[in-house]
Amino acid sequence: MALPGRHPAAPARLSRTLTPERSDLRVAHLAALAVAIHVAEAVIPSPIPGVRPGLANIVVVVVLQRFGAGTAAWVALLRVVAGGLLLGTFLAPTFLLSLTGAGAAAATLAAACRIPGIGTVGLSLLASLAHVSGQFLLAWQWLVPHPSLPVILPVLLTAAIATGCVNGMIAASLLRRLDSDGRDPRRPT
Amino acid sequence: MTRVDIAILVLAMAGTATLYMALWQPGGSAARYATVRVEDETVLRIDLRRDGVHAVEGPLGTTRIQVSEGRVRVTDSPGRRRICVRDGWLDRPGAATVCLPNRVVVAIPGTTETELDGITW
Repeated sequence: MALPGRHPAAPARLSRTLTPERSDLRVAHLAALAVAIHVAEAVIPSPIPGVRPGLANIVVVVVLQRFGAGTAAWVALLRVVAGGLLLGTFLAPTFLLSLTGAGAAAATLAAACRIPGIGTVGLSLLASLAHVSGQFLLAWQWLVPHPSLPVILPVLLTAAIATGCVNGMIAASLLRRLDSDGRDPRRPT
Repeated sequence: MTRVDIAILVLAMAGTATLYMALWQPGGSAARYATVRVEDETVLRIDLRRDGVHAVEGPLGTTRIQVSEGRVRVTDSPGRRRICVRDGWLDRPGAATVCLPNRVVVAIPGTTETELDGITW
């Protein structure tokens, strides 16, 4: 019985060689960039617990606009997993918070890029808000189920608006530079 | 920034401002009543919307409790260190103070009852 797409005469093979495709290499490349920013950012002390600039999300927003939601989701996921492994928080609550935030942000980005007329700053802002909201819900429902915890939510959202806008502007300026740069990564080689 | 971006920003700021107003009201979001327990037995359930003073008897004497503007505090309790008195006003769900020598616990019940206050690694 031949599987679709396989030649009937081909001998059954028990192993398959995986060759990274161009898109795989691109994901790895971009994820490495995001991981580097993620790890570098972990060193910066934060004035309020839970508030971080989220600079690695600039990469995700730029990738979304250049290569689409699929690549952006991969970069976001790999960033969290590899970042967690490097920082030693893999599978710890911090990691799960990070994963939830990145997941919520990626899902929001995938949905938000269908909004007509939305720009880079709007995307970044929505992603930032989703990131904080997702993390907050997980923290509240699981880590600190204290009825007073929502008191800190507006503070976190205020920070999310600020970082979302700033990151969005950085992402927009990056995209402008990439557009005017001859070394376009979309360019076939 | 496109017009849609600005609209999103305005909406986000309005939403956050609404949250501030809803969650940062003086007196807390859902602090409606407080319970007073003596030796693990609930002896008093105080309506926080009604100002007044209450007194409960513990093994060492009288613990006095005051309610004002949706808040509750212990004004006097027998005990050397008077930790519950110094604790001051309780105004949010989940807040509690304990007058251990007199076996009195004043608490504003939270909306969720859980075994753990929090988890950390």
